[in-house]
Amino acid sequence: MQDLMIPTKEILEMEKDDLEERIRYQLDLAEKYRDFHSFVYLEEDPAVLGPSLGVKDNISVKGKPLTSCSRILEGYIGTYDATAYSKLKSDTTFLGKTSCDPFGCGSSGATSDFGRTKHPLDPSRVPGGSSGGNGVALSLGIVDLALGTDTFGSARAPASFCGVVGMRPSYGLVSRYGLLDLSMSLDTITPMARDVYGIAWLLERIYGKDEHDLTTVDIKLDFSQFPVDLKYPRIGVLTDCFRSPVDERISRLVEKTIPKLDVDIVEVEISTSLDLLVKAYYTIMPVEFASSMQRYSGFLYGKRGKGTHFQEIAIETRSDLLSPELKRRIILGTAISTRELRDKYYSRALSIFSKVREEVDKIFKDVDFLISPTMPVLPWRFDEIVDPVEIYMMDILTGIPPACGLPAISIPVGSVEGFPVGMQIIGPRFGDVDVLRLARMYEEGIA
Amino acid sequence: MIRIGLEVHVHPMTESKLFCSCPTSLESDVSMCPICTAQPGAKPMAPNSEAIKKAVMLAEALGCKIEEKIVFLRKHYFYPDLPAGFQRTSTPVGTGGKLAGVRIREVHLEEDAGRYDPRKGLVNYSRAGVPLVEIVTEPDMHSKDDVRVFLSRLSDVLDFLGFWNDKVMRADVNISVDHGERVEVKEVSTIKGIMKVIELESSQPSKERVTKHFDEARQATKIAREKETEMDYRFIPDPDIPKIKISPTGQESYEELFKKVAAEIPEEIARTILVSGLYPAYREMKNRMEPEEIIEWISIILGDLKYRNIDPRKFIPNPEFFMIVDKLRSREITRYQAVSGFRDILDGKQLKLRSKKSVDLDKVITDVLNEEGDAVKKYARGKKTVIHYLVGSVMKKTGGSIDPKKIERELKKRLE
Repeated sequence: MQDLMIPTKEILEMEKDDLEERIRYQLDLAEKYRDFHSFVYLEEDPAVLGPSLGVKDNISVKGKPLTSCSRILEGYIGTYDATAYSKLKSDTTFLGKTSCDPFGCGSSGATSDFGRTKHPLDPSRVPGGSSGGNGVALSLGIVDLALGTDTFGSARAPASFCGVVGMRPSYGLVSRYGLLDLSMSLDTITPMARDVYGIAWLLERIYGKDEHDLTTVDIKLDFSQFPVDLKYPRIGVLTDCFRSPVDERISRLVEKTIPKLDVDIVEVEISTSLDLLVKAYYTIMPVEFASSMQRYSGFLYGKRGKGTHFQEIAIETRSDLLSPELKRRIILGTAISTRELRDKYYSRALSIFSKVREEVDKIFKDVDFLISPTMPVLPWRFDEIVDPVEIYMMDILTGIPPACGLPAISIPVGSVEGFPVGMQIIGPRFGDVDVLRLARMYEEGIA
Repeated sequence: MIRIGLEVHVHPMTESKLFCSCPTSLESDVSMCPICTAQPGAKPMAPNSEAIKKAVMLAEALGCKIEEKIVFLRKHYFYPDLPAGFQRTSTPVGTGGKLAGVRIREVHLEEDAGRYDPRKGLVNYSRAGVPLVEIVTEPDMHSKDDVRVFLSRLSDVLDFLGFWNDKVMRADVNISVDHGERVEVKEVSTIKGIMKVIELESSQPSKERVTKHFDEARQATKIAREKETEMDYRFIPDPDIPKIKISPTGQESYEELFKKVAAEIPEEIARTILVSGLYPAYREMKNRMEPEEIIEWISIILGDLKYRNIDPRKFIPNPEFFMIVDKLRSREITRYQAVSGFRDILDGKQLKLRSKKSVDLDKVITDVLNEEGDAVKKYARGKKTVIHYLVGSVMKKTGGSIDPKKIERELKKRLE
């Protein structure tokens, strides 16, 4: 049997026979690791066109189930291909839809309505989320490539917890067409893989302007020079990202990793506290989320609740089929966008975001990258953290890139107590290729 | 005193929907896609630029000041005809206009909803996403007559611009009586319905602000389930749509234009010219023709353009046309010749105008009388109407260059 964990580059160069054997083996693995719930839908007999690909269940693939792991869409089948997927479908093998927190709402990756997704090294712990299924499937070798999504950390968190690579591209670089909305001004479709090469291969194919997403930008990135050495990059280190509440063992591991390359290290500060940024996010996101969730009323698609009048149907459908976390965010977002409250909370949150953007822009005049740990803690046990607000605070280190539209990657840099630890590299807007280069250099420097 | 304000909705004529490329032809049952049915994950495409331009032109024609940019907002409510659970509606394209003495508060653009049939519980989403322009007035109307005048003038403006082709107006009618509260009647879809609503709601002041629906079949209004005071549409800028820069097109205000044209020719003709779309042609004509000539030609032009399905807005009188007009004025040709010459121009044929002096009428009549022996006999036996047939034969031979009345006179002289 071939080695499952070979570099992505070698998989991409495999002969067809070897690839077919590999994918048959991966399907067996999926069966074997069924209890980890990395998939909500698995292809039975996929046409082998390239390396195996998992697609997060909040991304539309024509003719395949599309539930976003929420009961409200149970039985719904995607009616069209998401742009990012359509650019991959002819040279990857679609293996199935991967688990996530419903509509991407969660940092644990463990709250799918259709079965709890488990950490690959310890089934009593969370895999990180919301793209948890991708983290688990990549880590276990069930897939070689994956499409996830990242709004405020959803690809980077599971990458960090599961010891794989996840990258949030610059906002506007990859079309969101076909991504089920969480927070439209922050959502991104993200490449995930076991190494940086896999990420670059995916991103090169999926990026680009799309008439179906007006927020995409017409820009040409040059992947041909990848990888190339960067000379003495200046690394900004936000001191707040290494302090409590971040686990000291994680901070130390990342601090030790940064100087493994020839870099200049610059300590930087922003005046907005990281937890205020998280609070602003949990104000803006629910407003956008509540708006986009209006369509799940039981009239048009998905499951329908009982009732005769349309209002009864909508109330029944939504009361019965939305998870508590979804309801919490919808109710919060609905309240915040009302006439009475919008100025008090929504407008303030928006101004916190724009202030952070200004300050971070200024920092990038002095540094080439920002580096920090990806997650403040190790994967927690399911019963360890249940308070929603405490879980929200797991996003403190992953918030700056979405708030500022910046690219950010999480790569594994070692372990603490046997669990993988991810390091986050943030670049300037559309500096995605440089982020990949530096990530590749660390990947090689650590190995 | 009764105060009436209107929110009038009209479909601008566009080929495709506002945020997707589905055709707007409303009869089709299959004009829908993931975007206009709000399938999970679908996002809007760039707003239809033709719809934006039409909205701007309408706002200008109503005398509004044009804004520098528009933002599409999401207006949230649940209704089966609204697939996304929100309607996209723009900030004003223009504000502060006036028509028929009624102040126009604003003109904006929005997407239409599907067509809901509550009895069958079915929705046709072919209309969902079709562009809709809303004209919001101040409550400046005080009677059915005021409303009738306003709507008919608005209809003129829409015709003038070639704005619509379905000629469908839907309106929300706001009425307050004396010092009572405002009653809003939603989605009245005919002018007759609007008149009925005003009749029903102007009898006594309302004690509370209330929203009603109009039941077309029963000709009655009934209070909506949702209370107006409880409604909060939670407007937010649509994060999927960047703001859009707009600019004036240079369209003149309809009423000012009307004043200008009515100073030159009678009001009724001025209105016909504007409403039919002949204004660009008129601008050319007025420099080279007398008002009486224009009046005479307008109905001919309109009739022949209509017969040939030519858009009057695209009709530009060429030098040949003015040559015909000049020759008719100097009596070189007959009206008949002028008209058929005009038709030749429209049909792209070679223009042939024989001067009437070159024809020897006496000789032609002699020829015709010799050839048409039967007709001559009929006439002699007292069937006088046969003269028209003979006139026709003479005209054919003279290429219509001679006044038919003159031919008839000459024929009669010879036959009697």
